[in-house]
Amino acid sequence: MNNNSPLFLAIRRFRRHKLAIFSACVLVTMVLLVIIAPLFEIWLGVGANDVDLYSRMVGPSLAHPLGTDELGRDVLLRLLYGGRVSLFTGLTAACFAATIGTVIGLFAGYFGGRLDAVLMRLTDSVIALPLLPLLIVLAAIDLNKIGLPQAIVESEDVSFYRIVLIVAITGWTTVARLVRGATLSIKEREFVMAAEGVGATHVHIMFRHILPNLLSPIIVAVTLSIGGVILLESVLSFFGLGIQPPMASWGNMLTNAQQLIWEAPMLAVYPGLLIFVTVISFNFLGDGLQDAFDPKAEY
Amino acid sequence: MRRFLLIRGLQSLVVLTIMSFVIYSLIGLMPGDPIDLMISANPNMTAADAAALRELYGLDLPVYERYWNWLTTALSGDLGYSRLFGQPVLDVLIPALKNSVVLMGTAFVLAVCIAIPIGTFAASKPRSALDYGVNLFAFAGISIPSFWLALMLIIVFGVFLGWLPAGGIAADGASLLEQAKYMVLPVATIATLSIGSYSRYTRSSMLEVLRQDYIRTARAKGASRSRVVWKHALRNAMIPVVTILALDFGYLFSGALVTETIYSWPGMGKLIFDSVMGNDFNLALVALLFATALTLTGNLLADICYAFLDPRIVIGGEKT
Amino acid sequence: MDKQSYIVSTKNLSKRFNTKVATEKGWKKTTVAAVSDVTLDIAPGETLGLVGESGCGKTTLGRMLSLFYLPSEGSMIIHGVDVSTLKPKQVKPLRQHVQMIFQDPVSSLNPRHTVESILTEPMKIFSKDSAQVRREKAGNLLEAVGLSAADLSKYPHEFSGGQRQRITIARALVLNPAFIVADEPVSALDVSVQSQILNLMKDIREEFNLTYLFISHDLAVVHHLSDRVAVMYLGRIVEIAARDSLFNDARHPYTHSLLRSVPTVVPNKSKIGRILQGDPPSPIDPPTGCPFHPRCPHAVDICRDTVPALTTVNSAARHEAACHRMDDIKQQSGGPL
Ligand SMILES: Nc1ncnc2c1ncn2[C@@H]1O[C@H](COP(=O)(O)OP(=O)(O)O)[C@@H](O)[C@H]1O
Ligand code: SF4
Ligand SMILES: [Mg+2]
Repeated sequence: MNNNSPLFLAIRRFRRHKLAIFSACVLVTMVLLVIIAPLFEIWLGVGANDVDLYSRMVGPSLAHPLGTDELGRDVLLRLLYGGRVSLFTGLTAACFAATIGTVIGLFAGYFGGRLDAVLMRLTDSVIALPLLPLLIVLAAIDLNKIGLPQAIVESEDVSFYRIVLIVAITGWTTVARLVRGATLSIKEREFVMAAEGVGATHVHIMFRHILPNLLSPIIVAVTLSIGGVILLESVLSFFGLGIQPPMASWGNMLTNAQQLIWEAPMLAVYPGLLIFVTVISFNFLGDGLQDAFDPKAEY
Repeated sequence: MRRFLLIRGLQSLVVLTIMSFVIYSLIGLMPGDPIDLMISANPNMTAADAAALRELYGLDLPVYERYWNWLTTALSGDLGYSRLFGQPVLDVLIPALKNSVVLMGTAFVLAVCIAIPIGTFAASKPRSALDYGVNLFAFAGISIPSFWLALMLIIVFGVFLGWLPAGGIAADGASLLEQAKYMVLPVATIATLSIGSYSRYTRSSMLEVLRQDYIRTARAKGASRSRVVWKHALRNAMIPVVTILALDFGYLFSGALVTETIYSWPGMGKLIFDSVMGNDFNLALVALLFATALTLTGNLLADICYAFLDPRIVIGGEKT
Repeated sequence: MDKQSYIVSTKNLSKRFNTKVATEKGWKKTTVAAVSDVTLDIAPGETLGLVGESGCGKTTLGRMLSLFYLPSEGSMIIHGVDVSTLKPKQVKPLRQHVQMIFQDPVSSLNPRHTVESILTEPMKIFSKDSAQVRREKAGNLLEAVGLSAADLSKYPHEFSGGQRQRITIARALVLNPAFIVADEPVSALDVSVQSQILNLMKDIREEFNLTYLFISHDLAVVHHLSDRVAVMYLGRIVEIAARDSLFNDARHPYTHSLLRSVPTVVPNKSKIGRILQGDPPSPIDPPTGCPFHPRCPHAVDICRDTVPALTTVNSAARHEAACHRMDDIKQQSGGPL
């Protein structure tokens, strides 16, 4: 690779952030572990959702390295599968939200004028809403009533799709503002006019010329938002409004923990600790990336 | 300035109106409806009775007509009856509001009193151990799941140590000390989260100001760094911080949904949660709208603060 | 010559922009007349130099002629098509005949695109060539502007300023245009590479049969490349003539002061600097009458009231100037360059 390419410089700056590198390692390990979760099922000889009422809330043992929960399910396995759900929800919802935000921001910044005014008022308004109460309502609505077919409403993954959608339709605002601002400045660069001069369409200019120049701030914003999304998912699942049992998520594993404090205090500790470590890692990583991609330092 | 206020106020009003319709429609989409609830309460009711009741209550009308009916009644002062509490909605709302203000206000003051000094200290000694400590704490504050922090505090202080009540609120007429006991854990939870973000804002805003020319001049004239920080820079560094604080103003009233619910603190946040989960349509609707109106006010306030405090902003020609 | 056989032919062309100005009562909306009443023709194969102080409307005129701005008033026929009757969407087919070379070789190349994608993009839009053919053509063009086909896979940041400008020249040539507007193509470059680029532009003019509108605020550069020269002041053409006629027999007082500011033909020393007292008046609030009168040493009453029209001075040299008093002040012209 060329020694002073922007990417190279960014990587060099990123390497200064010990905490960000450490966080990246933590996250990679975590992703690897949840990917190979089925191997743990084979190793332990039980499934993550297998109920065993004869061994409820037992302590750590060879058969159950982290013990079992109130239904005798293996805690380690549930943490791994819960991690799958939490990480995947966080990533998908953050990317989905960023996509919406990117499109809105690009159109607002590129076309300007009235469209910009309308889209930015919309963004301001969404930002000014009390998010959590509204999310609770959105999470509580009856899918039958909006005319979804029964098969979908009762399918296993519906709680996952619902949460991704809820987060996406409320979480696009940061990226939209960011992309709009950057688009405003990039569209003044002469290469945009040059593209227009060779007959490129607006859509082509927006997505092939402007968007590639916005990727680094978008990546930073997405990284920083994943943590927030995981927090939202966990709190909704904790209240029984997010990922539905028996599918495990770190949030819904905590739902009953409060009642079991005396019998099994660790049940309340593990999932929360994992959420905390994951979210803080994404935040450190995003912070490091932000510094590495700092436009003031580029070129 | 007056024009600016007027425009922003009108904008907020428009958003509020739109949101009232959106929330009304969303509430209508929650599981069950009032008639279903009556049916489950009264096994003798027939399907025909139910249909008749639906018509009586106007539930068979399209949503915008129902919304219009609700809006005109609400504007005439009748906010309806809470099903869960068996009281008029306002009678439920006002005590909850009071509880939220007490809780959130205490947490807010505490957070500001801690966050601004530590953020400023961190900025005055960048890269010191203190700076790293503050930064780490701030990251922890924005990364910790609030409900889990609450759970942990309850487990440690409420259950194992037994020093503090695990939830609820002191009975009417209890001593101040007794009342305070119930507040310690929820206040600590909320303040921890806010201190994280406030101190980060203070620190970065202060660093930004310290980079500016007039500060460098002061430094060049021989003022020590800490003198410059506290004497010259603090005022300007507070401008964006105050804006952020104003933004949170709305939450003073709309409460902290998660924390209040977990600690069973009977404030607005818990009220919203309970009414949504308990199918209390009237109450949920009004409480949500109330929360929306207050957050919008917080945003408006932030804009105004910004306009008043930032000398670079000129509104409508006059320097404010 | 009739209008249709010119590459460019404009009549009373004007461009106004909406802007805001800061007043005591906040922002006020106004219009700025960036270009006013420009009538000119450019014949095939000719190079018209356009000079004037910064802010006088050169870029705006150049962008109108290269189809980026539609005129507010007046007509323009470009490559035989009357642009003023076209809807924005109908402009696209005409674009392949008119191209622009930009001033800033850093911002005119997309940092995220390779040279290959920069050069093949116009072909993708206008022709049905296969990827293979496109790549080959792009390679040939790079060689024509003095780079090598091996550079196709590189990114813009890997080149020097002069090399980047060669890339933008190659891009302007991709569609085989008839007319190229070069907006200060060398003013962002080091003096040492300026002449290389100018010579390159000269060479490709012959090789590709090009017609140029060459914008510069550097008279030596314009002298080097132009067949005819137009002098612009506050949005208007105040003098236009064959190159030698303009440099040896200038009639307009503004042209005189420009020429006096050129001590030598050394590039960069000849930039139009602060030769005149004060700044030019603002195009937001232009003076009445002759736009030059507030700074003109010869101004008389009529200059304050009536806008002088372009009048023929010497028809052999197609020399025209817009000054009420040009016959009185002829003797004081700046010496030959
Ligand atoms: N897009 C625009 N909007 C508003 N005003 C403009 C715009 N482009 C140019 N102007 C104004 O028009 C005048 C001429 O500008 P320009 O054509 O760039 O001059 P030059 O290229 O000779 O320096 C200037 O006063 C400039 O401020
Ligand atoms: S018309 Fe008058 S003011 Fe204008 S250039 Fe001629 S002499 Fe000067
Ligand atoms: Mg220009």
